[in-house]
Amino acid sequence: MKLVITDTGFIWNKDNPFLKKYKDSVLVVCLYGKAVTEQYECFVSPFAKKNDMIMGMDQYGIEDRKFQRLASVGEKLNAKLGCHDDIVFLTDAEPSTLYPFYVIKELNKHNSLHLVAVPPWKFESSSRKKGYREMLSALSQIHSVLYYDSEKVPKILGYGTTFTEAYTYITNDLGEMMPYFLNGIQDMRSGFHVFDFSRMKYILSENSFYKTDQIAISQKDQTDGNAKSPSAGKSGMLGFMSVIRRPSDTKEDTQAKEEGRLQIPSYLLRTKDSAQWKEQVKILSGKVRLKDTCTNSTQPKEEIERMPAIPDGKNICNMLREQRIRLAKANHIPFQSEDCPSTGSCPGTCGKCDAESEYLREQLQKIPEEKRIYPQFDPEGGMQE
Amino acid sequence: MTGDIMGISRLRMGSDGKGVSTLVAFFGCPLHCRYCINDFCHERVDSFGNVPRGAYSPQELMQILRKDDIYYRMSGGGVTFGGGEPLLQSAFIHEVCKLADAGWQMRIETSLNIPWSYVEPLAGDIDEWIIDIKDMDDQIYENYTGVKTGHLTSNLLRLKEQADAAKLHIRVPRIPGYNTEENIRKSVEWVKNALKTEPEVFGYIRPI
Repeated sequence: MKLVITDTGFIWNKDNPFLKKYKDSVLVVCLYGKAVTEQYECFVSPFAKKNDMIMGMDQYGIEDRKFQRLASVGEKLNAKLGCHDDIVFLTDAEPSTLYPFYVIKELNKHNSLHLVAVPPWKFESSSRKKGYREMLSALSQIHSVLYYDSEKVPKILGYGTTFTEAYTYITNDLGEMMPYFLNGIQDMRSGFHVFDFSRMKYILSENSFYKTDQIAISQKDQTDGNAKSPSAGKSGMLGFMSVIRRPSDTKEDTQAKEEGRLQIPSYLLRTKDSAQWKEQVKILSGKVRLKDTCTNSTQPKEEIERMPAIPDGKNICNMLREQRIRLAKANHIPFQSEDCPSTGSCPGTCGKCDAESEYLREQLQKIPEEKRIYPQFDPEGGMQE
Repeated sequence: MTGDIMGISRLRMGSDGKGVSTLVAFFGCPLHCRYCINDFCHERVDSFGNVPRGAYSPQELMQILRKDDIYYRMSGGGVTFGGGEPLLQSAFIHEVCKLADAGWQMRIETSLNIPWSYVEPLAGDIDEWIIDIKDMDDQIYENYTGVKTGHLTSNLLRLKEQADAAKLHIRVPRIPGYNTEENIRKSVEWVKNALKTEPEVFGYIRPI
C-alpha cells in the first residue's frame, strides 16, 4: 500500500502527525520542484519557481502550472507507484492535493486507486471550487472513496471558528479513522466501496449512501450555530476570510439534511455539464455501483481451485499417502492412514488426504527446524532418508 | 491487495520445475501469442465469459498453498506463478513470497517483456526464473506475439546482474511457421554469450 500526499495539503502534508506511523508507505509528491522532507520518500515534480510562477490570482486545476509540470512526468510517477498495489490518495480542500490522483487515474492500469477526499467549503473562492471539481472528474477509475463531509465541521465547532481550528479538527478526526480505513482498503475485495462513517468501515456500494447523523460529534454545543469559538478572529488560512461564516442553505442542502445523508456541496453540481456531474456526485455519495474492477463475482472460487479427476488419480493418491506415511515415520509422528475406499474418479487428493497433510505439517512445526527430516520424495514409491 | 487469478492447479509433478508444485495462473498478458494455450487470460474484465476469475488476498492464497507444504519440502518443489504474465502482478507475488516458507522453491514463468519496475520487486524473491524468450529476432518476435521485443533484452541483462545466473532458466521454443532452426541457433548463441547460461530448446505445439 502507498499513501500519496502532496507538499501543498492543509490536512495531509509532511507535518501530519498521524502519517508518521505509516512512514514507509508515504510518498510525498512535491509540486514546487524540490523535496520538502527527508522523513518520507519524495517524488519531485519539475516545477521551476522562477519560470513557472504566474503573478496575480492563484490558478487551480488543469490550468495550474504545477499540475502541468506534474502531468509531464506522469509516467515516472506511475512507474514509482509500481503495480498491483493499493494506492491511497490522501487529499483535502486544497485542489492541488488532487493533482497526483488526476494524473495517475489516466495512466493507471494495474493498481487499485483509493481516494480520501475533503472538499472545500461552499463559500471558498470560485477558482478553488472550479479546480477541485475539475480534479474530481471521471471517478469511475477508483476502487473506493472516503468522502469527508467538511460542511459538518462548522456546525460542530460553531460558525465563527477559525480555519486553523477547523482543519485541526478534521486532521484529528481523519487521523483517528486511519487504522479503520487503511485496514478496510487492505481487506477490500472487488467492486466499488464507500466508507460508511456510522460503521467505520467500507461497504460495497449498491443503492446505499452513508449518513452523517451518526458521526461522532464533538462535545461542543451544536445548538448555537453562531456561537463563536474562543479563538475566533485569529488569522485564518485562506487570506482575507479568517473565520467560517454561516452560508445560506440551498434546496439540496435542506433536502440532504432532512434525509440525514451526506451533504455534497452544491457547487459541484453548478456547472454547464451538470448531467455528467450528477454521476460523479452519485459516486461520491455511494449511490451507484461501479463495475467490479477485478473479478466477476458470479464466478465462485471453487471453480478456480477445483481439481479435476484424472485417469491415474487413484495411483497418485496412493503414492502421496505412501509419502505421508514415510514422513511420519522419519519424524516419529504417530500417524495412521487407511486405504481410501473410494472407487470413483479421483484428482489425486481429497479433503481426507489434505487433512492428513495438514496434521503432519502441524506436528512437524512442533519439532525444531534443524531436527525435522524430510525424506526424499519418490514418485516410484521408494523412499530414501 | 488482491491477485487477479484464473486458476490454481495443485500437485503438479515435474511440469513446472523440479518436484511437486502448485501453479498459480494470473490474468492479463501484454503479449498476444498466436499459439497461446491460455488465451482467455486476455478476457475483458466485464466479459460474461465462462472463465473463472477471482481476487485473492495473499493470506487467502497462502491457505491453499500450505496444503501441499510437506510435498514441496520433500520433493524440492514449491510454487510456480504463471499466467498470463504473472509479473503484471509482481507486487502481489512479492507479498505472497514474504509469507511463504523459506523451504519452498518460488518460480515464475514469464516472457519478461514488461517494464523493469514490474520485475524488480521480485529480483530477490524468485528461486527460478523460467523465461520463454520466443525468438531474439525482432521481426519474428513481433510476428508471433503481436508486440515488439521492447523490454526483453534489457530485462534479461539486468536480471542476470541482480539474480544469480543459476536462477535463470531460459527457454527457446521452436515455433512452427515462425522461426527456423537457424533462427533458434542464433537465439541460443545470444543466450550463451550474453547470459552465460545454457538455454533449453523445446517445441510449441501448433493448435489444430
